[in-house]
Amino acid sequence: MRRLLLLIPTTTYRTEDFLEAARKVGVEIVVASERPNTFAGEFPDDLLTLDFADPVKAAAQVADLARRRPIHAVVPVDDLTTVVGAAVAAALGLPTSNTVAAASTTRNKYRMREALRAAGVPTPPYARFTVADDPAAAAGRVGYPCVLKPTVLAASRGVIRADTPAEFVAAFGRIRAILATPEVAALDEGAAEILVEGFVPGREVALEGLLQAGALGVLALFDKPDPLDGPFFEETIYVTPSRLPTAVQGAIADTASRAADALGLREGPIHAELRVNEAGVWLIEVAGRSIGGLCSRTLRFGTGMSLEEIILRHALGLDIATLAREHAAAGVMMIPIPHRGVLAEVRGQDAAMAVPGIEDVAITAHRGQELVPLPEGSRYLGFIFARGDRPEQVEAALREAHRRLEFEITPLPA
Amino acid sequence: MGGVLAAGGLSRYNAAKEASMADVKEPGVKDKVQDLLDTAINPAVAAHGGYIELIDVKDSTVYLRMSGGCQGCGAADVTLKAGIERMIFEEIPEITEVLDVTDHAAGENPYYTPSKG
Repeated sequence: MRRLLLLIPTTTYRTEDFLEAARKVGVEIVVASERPNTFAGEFPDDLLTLDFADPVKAAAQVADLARRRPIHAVVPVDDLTTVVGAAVAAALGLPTSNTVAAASTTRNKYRMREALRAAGVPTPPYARFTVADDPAAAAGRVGYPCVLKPTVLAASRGVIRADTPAEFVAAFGRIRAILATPEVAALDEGAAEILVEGFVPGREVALEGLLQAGALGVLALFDKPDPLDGPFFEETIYVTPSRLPTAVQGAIADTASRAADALGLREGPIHAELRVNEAGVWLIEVAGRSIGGLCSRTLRFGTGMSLEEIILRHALGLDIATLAREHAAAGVMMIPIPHRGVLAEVRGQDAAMAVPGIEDVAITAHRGQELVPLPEGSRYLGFIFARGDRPEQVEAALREAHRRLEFEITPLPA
Repeated sequence: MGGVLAAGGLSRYNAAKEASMADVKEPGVKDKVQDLLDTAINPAVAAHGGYIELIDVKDSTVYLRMSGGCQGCGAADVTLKAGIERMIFEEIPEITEVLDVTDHAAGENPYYTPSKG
C-alpha cells in the first residue's frame, strides 16, 4: 500500500477532513506534527515530530525514515507547513510538489509582491518596513488609503487599513505588538516586517484551484458578499458559484494563473484572493495550499469527492475523475468573534440548524476559551454551512442562521 | 504485535496479557478492548490530560468517548486514527472499526486548540 505523509500542525482545523480523505483514497498514513503525539513512542515510524520551522532538518529526518519505509507523497495541510512540505518532497524526489523557493515566496507577502510585479501581474503600490522603523516617518512615505499587514501571517491577522498618517501610526504600533508575541516572532526573519500596500477598492473573491504541471484547474470561485473595506478585514461569508459575469470570472482565473506562474507554483492546491473593480482584476494574495478553516466542507466534486480527496489523489499521482464541482450553490460563514472575552455559552444552534438550506453549524471555540477578535486574533467561533439552488438563497440562509445564534461572551477583567 | 512498536504502553499491555494467559476463561472482545485502554492507551493520553472511555463494542465496532485534554483537541483525530485505532486493530483483530462518539464541541480544556495559522 502507498504511504502518504501528512504534515499536520497541532493547531490546524483540517485534520479530520484530511484523515477522512486518506481513508477514502485507501492509503497508509504517516502523520507529522510540530509537537509529539501521545503515541509517538509506540509508532515512531508513523507519528513523527518535525520542526516545521527548520525545513532542512525536517526533510533529512523524513528522508532517513523513507530509506527504511518508503513514502510516496507528502501533503502539507495548511499554510504553516507548505515550505517544509516542499523541502521534504525535494529530499524524497517527489514530483507532485512545488519547489522550496516557490513555497517560501508565497509565505512572505513582500517577496510575493516583488515576484508579482516583476511578472507584470496587476498589483497595488507597496513598500516594506520593519518594526524597528519610525512609524511617523514611515507614515510620510506612503499614499492613502493604505493597508498595513505583517509579511508572514495569514487569514487577515494583523491586516489594518489606514486612511491618515495618524491611523497609520496607530496601526503600525498594533502590528508591532502582534509581531512581538513569541509564537509569531518564532516564524522566521520576515516576522519583523510590515508590508504597506495601496488599498484596492472593489469586490473581493477567493479562487480555489489545483495546479497540475503548471496548468490551473479552477475548483471553485467564491464571492465574499460582505464588504471588506476595513479597518480590519474579517472574512465572513463565502458563496459559490460566483455571481460575477462569466467574462469577469475568466479574467479572475487568468490573473490567478499568471500569479501562480510568477511565483513558481506548479503543483497542488492554490488559494487566491483577488479584487475586482472598474480597473480590472487585482491579485491580493495567493497561497500554495487549499482554503483554510473548515471551509472546504462547502465543496463537493463529481460524485461526492471532497477537496481533500482531490489534493491527496493529485499528490499520489492517482487519477482524478473530474474537477467539476456539483451544480448546487454552497456557502460557509466563518463566525466572527464580536469582542474580546471568554466564551461562556452558545445558544440557538437548533434554531440555526432549522433554517432551510443550513447543513451544519460547527462551533469550534470551546466554553471557557479566551476569544480575541481581529486584528490580533487567530481563531473563529465556528462555521455555518449551507447549500441551495441559488447563491442568493445560500447567502440568505447563512445570514439567518447566524442571526439565530447567541454567543455569551464574558468580558475579561480590565 | 506489530514489530515497529517500541517499549512503553503496549509492552505493559503485553505483560498484562501474558500474565492472564493462565486464566481458564478467554476474555471477551469488550474485555480485551478495556484491558488495552487501561494498560496502554489511557496511560499514554494521560500525559496530555486526556482519558478514553469505552462506551460499547457491537459486532466488530468499538465506540469510544474522549474526555479531558482529548475532548475538542486539534490533534484528537490523529491520536484516534494513527494511535488508538492502530493499537486496537493490531492487538484485537476481531475489531474492524473504531468510532469516536465524543461531543468535541463540548470540550472545555482541549490540549491543542485550532487556529487560523
